[in-house]
Amino acid sequence: MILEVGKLTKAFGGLVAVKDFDLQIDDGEILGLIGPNGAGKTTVFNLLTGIYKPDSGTIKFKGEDITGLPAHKICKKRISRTYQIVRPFNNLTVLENVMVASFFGTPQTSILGFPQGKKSEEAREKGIELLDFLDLADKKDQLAKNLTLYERRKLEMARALASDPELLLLDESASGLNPTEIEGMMAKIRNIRGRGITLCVIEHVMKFIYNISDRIVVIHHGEKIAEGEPKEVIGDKKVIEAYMGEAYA
Amino acid sequence: MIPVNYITSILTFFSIFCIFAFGQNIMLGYAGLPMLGYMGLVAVGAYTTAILSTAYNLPFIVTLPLSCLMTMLIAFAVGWLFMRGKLAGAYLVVGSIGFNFIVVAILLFAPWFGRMFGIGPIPAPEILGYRFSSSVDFSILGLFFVAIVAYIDRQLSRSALGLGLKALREDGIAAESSGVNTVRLKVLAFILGSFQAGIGGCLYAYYIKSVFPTYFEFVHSVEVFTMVILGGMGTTLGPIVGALVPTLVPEALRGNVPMEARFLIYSIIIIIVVLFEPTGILGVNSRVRRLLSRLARLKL
Repeated sequence: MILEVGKLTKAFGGLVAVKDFDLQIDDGEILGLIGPNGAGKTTVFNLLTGIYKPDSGTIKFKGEDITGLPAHKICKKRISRTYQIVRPFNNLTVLENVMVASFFGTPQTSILGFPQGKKSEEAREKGIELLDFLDLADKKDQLAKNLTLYERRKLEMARALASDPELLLLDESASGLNPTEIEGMMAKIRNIRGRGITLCVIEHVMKFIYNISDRIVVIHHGEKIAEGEPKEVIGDKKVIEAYMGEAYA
Repeated sequence: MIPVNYITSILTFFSIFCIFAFGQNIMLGYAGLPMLGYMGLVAVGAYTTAILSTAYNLPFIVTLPLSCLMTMLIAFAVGWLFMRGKLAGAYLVVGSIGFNFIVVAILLFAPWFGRMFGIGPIPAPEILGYRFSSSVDFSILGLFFVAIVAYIDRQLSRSALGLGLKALREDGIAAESSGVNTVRLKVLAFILGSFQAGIGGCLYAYYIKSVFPTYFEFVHSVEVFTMVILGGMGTTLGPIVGALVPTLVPEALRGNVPMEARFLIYSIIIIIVVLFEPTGILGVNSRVRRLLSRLARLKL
């Protein structure tokens, strides 16, 4: 087990976004995290990656308690993520985008914790390798803001991979993409797993999540309502109720 | 015939403005921190030099590094306070304006800084036995430090640290989850960008021979701020071009046009540039830069 989350809770004012949420992610699996809009999926990601601090509960990564660590430290513990609404560094080139994470995202051995000069060539080579892996190598000198949405999503994945993650959290990598691009994205995700990286994927496109996941966790109103293999989960009464309303269950 | 002294005095002011603009460029251009109280930091440098050279008779070789050190120390304190308080965007603008006003108020009302009469006269600086007294001397000294500061800027923009600052400017949250310690880097941007305030403040004090609180008022911070915006934020040539405008425009109009009208024309230039070239005259995406890169391609 690579990640173990126990009784995670986060409230915003009166709204409890995530409540007593338990989650286990096994080494090397692709876990799908689904739920209706506003279910708390992205909040879970934000809690796991240190963007928010949980009100209560624990997060253990490879047996180590990482609850409440700031985001930049979580990154160095080897958990990376992408964003539902893409956040590339718009006015940096594609390669520079990736190099930021390879400079700063890995545990550092340099003075004051700032990357040193000789690391530069390494970071560059790694960046180009990752861009190649995601078919972006020919765009490496373009500004990130000039890319298409599909390319920007892949760029975010390259940047997330540049900090050598063991666990990668993907937040709606398929949203806004056309069917061909979705196929491409699924292939990329499988290739990432092929590199020995564990994945947790939030997705709305059912075909996507159904095909890609080894296991699915369903969250509704901040609570886990179902968990299991894709086939079982999709037929689950509670899940159908959450998505379609009681009448269909 | 234009007298040499006239040209060299313009050159000296230009190089001092340039040095300020390079400091502001690190905060505003690279790290994206809208610090609008830069003259507050310059005041620290200038007054350190003034006090050390008058009351303690210390030479240039000592006052310069101590001025830089003092400025960086104050910048560290202020930057740390602002970043602890999570000041960003408009709040940081207001906070840094407040800093500028506080510095000027301290210089005016505290008993140690000569109040409105300032501190002076500051003796001419001496390096290896040579006295820098004429404006020719000063313009050479000034341009020498511009070269140093420009070199630092260039190295920074190519370094990993510079990349981290730019990432911070583009998207703080994405930078943070890419492993950038954003709070630490913002404070560091404050410290790195105040080094130039130390150098510039020191030279300024020596050149004008006495320092007064009015030289460091908020209006002048706005000037430094606009230099960077005019020239092109986050570029090495930007601050140089940006510093040319406020030195050359008023001079070009001197004699024929009254003082107020000169500032009016200067302000109109700023507005026109910002409207038509929002990234600055030499900004990353400006017409001039695109033209230059097209010319470079032609050569190949």
